[in-house]
Amino acid sequence: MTATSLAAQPQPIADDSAATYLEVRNLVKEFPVTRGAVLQRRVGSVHAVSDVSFSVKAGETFGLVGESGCGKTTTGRLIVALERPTSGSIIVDGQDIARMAPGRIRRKRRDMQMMFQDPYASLDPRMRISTILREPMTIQKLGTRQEQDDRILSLLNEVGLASSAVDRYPHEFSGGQRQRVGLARALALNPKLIVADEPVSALDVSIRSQILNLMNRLQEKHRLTYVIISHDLSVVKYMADRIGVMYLGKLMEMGSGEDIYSRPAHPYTQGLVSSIPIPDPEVERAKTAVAPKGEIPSAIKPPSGCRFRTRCPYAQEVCADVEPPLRSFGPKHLAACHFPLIPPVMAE
Amino acid sequence: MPNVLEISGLKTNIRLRRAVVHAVDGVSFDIAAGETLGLVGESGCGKSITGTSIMRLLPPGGEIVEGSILLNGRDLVPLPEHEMRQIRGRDVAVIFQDPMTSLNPTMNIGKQIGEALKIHKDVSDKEAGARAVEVLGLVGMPKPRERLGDYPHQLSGGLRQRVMIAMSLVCEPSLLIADEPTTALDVTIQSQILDLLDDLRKRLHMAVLLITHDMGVIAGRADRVAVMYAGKIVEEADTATLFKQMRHRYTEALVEAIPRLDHETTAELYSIPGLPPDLTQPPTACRFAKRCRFDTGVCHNVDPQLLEHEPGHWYACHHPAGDAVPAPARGEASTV
Repeated sequence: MTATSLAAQPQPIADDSAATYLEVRNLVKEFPVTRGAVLQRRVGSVHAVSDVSFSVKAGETFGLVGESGCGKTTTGRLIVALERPTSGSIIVDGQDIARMAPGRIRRKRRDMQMMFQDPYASLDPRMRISTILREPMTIQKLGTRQEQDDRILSLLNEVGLASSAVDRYPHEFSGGQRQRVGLARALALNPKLIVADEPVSALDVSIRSQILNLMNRLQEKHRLTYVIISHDLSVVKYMADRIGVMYLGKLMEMGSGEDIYSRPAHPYTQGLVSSIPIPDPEVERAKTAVAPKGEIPSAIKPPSGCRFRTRCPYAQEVCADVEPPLRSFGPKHLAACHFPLIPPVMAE
Repeated sequence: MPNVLEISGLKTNIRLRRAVVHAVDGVSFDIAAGETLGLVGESGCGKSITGTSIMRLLPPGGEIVEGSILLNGRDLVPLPEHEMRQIRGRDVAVIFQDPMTSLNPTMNIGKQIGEALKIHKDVSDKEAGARAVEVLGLVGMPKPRERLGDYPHQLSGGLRQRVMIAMSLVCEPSLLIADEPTTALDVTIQSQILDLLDDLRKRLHMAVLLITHDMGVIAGRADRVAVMYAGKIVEEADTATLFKQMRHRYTEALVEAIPRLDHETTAELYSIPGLPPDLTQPPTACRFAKRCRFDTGVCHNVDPQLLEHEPGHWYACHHPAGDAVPAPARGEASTV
């Protein structure tokens, strides 16, 4: 896929070529923490996303990986405008949706859709599949009833469900089939970008690969741009051309799957990689790197300087005082660490 | 080493209003002291019902209909409930997936840990408290003495699971059942908890039944593996053998369906077609045949027996993978 071709042409940091479909710049999202039932005094904020920047080319898959509370889901919701950012910009196809009026965002949503984790919770149990798939078209006032019916049948066909599914309710389907419905709904408006938040985490192993393969086929057919969000680095590495590793609202490292797996620069990335169990006893028992110790700190009062320093085996004084900037470690490989595991590439 | 647990021919049904689910259908295995047996399979394969059968904590309608469960030589199946109560927590303990729902939200953790001890052993409040501090320290809880008064909601998921483990260990059971102990946790926390379980097993010489859907967890932590599908064990071997020479086509398919972090591939993953069979009317022949790539007539007509085809390696497949020796009583040649 494109991962190899991208690696072949060295390019520093941001890529401003015309093919960029999504660009997230200095994205910040803070949620207020309030106290008191009536007055709701603001006593602090959850720093969910703190100064995150990345860009995704059209037809590319970008993976966001990290543990709970790292801000990956919030980032995804910001991209499809389900949340509004505190600051920063989200440029989708040349338009900054962070500064767009709500009415215009609704139109723009045709181009960017979301696929959710839990196929049991994200489909209305009282709606028939036809109603579920028609809803986005009705909201966007697209097509006549007949055209919508035709579209529903072609969507079902595309995701591998029988046309008899139209009259059924979500509970009549298995988890995998429901996730197919979720994918069909995301595709209903012919979007260009799909943000998939943990698309297979709720599914059994044997069903996961069906959905991942289907997502890949649909991407190729419709030239979709994907942002795939998951805690599962194995899934993200399989699907994505490039991966961003998040920790406590910050992007710690970004690179190709091989950069992240074979030559991580950030100690957090290395810890995350070594924590992931691999279905091979020889590999698993030969592991030398240890998993990060301790717990993830609170996002209300994140550590000063580098946010990973409280769990980092290499942390020094400077890590508490100075926030490390993102530096280049190779073509399209960035990491924010004062004491990286591999030497940085000096900017020319 | 003596076997702590010996299960043979276990059949557990779950009676629904109009049907009976044959959730566990003739399962046998044993676990020695200090050993971890990994029981792996997908949702609905009966792995958790196997665990709850041992604890005799079956869901409503659940009933053990056949077989025996010997714990330290004593059959648990015919025991009356009051005797079972003596055994739970003392000889066999369980850790569930979600520590939030298995801890009492209205009781501080010191009391919860001490409770089991007070039920099973004649100890004072003070002794129970001291022991709670001791086991909390053992499971790696920072500042255990100060934590005794905390309530579950004040703890993170990882710490709650440590409390669960502390509770289960307080009476030093000979068997620990860990049912998806880390599925609700983050990966870095998961590896801490699995390390802890490993360490405690060695120190306390416990037998551990590790129930999980995650082949990766099994690969790193189990001494032996039993793969379950649709209520039956389809393959069992020591961990190294199972991963190197997997024989059953279901095991093989399961591993091929997972993207591997250490492999660089963009090729399509193998996906197992269809769904597991309905266990209210389980197939009479091979239960995986309908979804198998290598099925032939015999698979749909003859139930393959779980036999020790190679030393220590049991499998129930008419067309085993790899360079397996032809199994006896097989209808036709392998189609590898």
